[in-house]
Amino acid sequence: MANTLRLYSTCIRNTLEAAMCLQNFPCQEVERHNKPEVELKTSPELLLNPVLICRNEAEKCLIETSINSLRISIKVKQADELENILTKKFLRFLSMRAEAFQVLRRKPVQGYDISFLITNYHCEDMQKNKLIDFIVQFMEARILEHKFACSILETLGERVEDAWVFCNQRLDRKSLM
Amino acid sequence: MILLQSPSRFLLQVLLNRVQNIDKGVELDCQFAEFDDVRYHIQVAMRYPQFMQLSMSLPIPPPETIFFDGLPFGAIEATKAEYGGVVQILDPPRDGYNLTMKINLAKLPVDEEEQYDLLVRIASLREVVLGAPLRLIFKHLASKTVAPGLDQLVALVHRPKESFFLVPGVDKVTVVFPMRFKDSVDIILATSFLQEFVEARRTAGLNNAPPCLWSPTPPLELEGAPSEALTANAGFVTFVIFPRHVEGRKLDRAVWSLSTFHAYVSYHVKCSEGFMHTRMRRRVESLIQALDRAKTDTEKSKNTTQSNSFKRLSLKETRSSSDP
Repeated sequence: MANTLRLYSTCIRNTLEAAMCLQNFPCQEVERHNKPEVELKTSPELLLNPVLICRNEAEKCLIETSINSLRISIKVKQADELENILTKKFLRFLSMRAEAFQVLRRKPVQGYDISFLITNYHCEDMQKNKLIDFIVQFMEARILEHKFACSILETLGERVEDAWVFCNQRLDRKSLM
Repeated sequence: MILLQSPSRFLLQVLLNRVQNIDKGVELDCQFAEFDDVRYHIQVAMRYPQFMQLSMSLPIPPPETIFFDGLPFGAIEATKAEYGGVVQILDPPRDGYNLTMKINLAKLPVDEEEQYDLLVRIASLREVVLGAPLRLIFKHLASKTVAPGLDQLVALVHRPKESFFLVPGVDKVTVVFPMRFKDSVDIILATSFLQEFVEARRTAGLNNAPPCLWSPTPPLELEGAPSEALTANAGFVTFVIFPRHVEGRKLDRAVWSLSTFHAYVSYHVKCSEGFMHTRMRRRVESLIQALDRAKTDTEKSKNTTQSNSFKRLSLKETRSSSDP
C-alpha cells in the first residue's frame, strides 16, 4: 500500500518538477491582459499536452500545463459513504478557505475533487521545490485522511464503550446501594 | 459521555427557588421546552402562592401508539403513586397540554432532604409520564409475568410522530428502535455509530449489559406493525431486556436510558460532527503552514542578498577611509 503510494507520488513529483517551468506571458489577444492560459485556452500553441497519472480507477491526478500557468486536479479515493462524507466536507472546508491557500482553485475541474492553479507569479513568490512538496504532501494526506476516518470511528467506539461501562457502573452502584 | 439526567434542571431550579421564597407571593408564569418536543408550563397566582400549576405537553403520537386521554397508559396512576398527596391532577388539562397538575407546596415534607428528594422527583415528571408504560412492562418482567392486555407488540411514543416498539414476554422484553434522522450526513454517521455500538457491546466484556443488535431491515419482531413505522433510514436497533436488567433499583435507570435512546444517539452524532470540524481546522492550519514554508524562505533569502549587496558604511568608517 505504502509502496504503491510512494510510486504514485514520486511520479507526480517528477512530472510537476518538469512541468513547473513557467514564465511571464501576456495575453496575445487582448492588450494589457495577463491571464493564466491554461484556464482561458486562447491559443493552442501556448498549451502543452496534459498528463494524467492514475494509481487506480478511483485515484488519479491530471496535470495540465501552459506557458504561464499550471493546473493540477486530484481525484481522491472514497471507499465508503463515511469516507465520501469526510472527503466532501474537508474539500468544501478547504475551498471556502481558498484565499489562505492562494494556489487552490475555488472550484475543482469537472470529474475531480480538488484543483490547484499555479501561475508564474506563484512560482516567483515561492520556492518551486517547496511548492511541489506542498502539493505532494496534500496528495499523501489521503492516507492520513483514511486514518482520520478510522480515528473518528475509533473514538466513537471508545465513547460507546465508555457509555456502556458508565451505564453498567451506575447500575452496579445503584444495585449496591 | 454525559448521559442525560432525568430531572429537568430548569424545572428543579424553579421549584427550589419557589419553595425557598414561598412567602414572597410573586406571580410566576413561564413556559419552556425540552428535547424531543416536550414542553412545560409553570404558573403561580399571586393570591395562592402555595399552589403551583405545572402543565406538560408530550410529543405528538403516531397513529400506532395508544393514548388514553392524551397520555400513555398507566401515566396517571404512575403520577399519583409517585407524588402522593402533594400533587393533584386536574381534569381536563390546560389547553394545548397533555397533563396539568396542581402542586401543593404547603404539603411538602418538612425535612430538608426529603423535600429536596421530592422536588427532584417532580422535576423528573417526564420520566414518570413517558416512562410509565415501560415501567409497567418491566415491573411485570421482574416478577416474570406478562401484564394483562399487553402481550403483543406495544408502540410507545418517544419523539414527535415516532415511536419505538416493545414485545413483552414472560422471561424477556424485546425493545426495537427504528432510527430516523433528517440530515443525510447524520444518517451515515448514525449508521456507523450504531454498528460500532453493537460491536462495542460484543468486544468490551460487557456481559451484564443487555444484548444489542443492529440491522438495516426491520427485525422479525416488528411483524404486524404499520408499514410507515417500518421505514427507518438508519436501521433498527434491538435490545433484549432480561429480568436481571430491571430488578430493584436498576428499573429506573433502564426506563430512562431506553426512553432517551434516540436523544443519546443523536447527541453522539452531533458530537462527532463537531470533532470532525476541529480536526479539519487543525489540518487546514498545518497545510497553510506547509505553504507558508515555501514563501518565508524566499523572503528571508531576499533579505540576506540585500544586506550583502549594499554595504552600509558607518560615519567612522567613512572618516577613516577618507583620512589617508
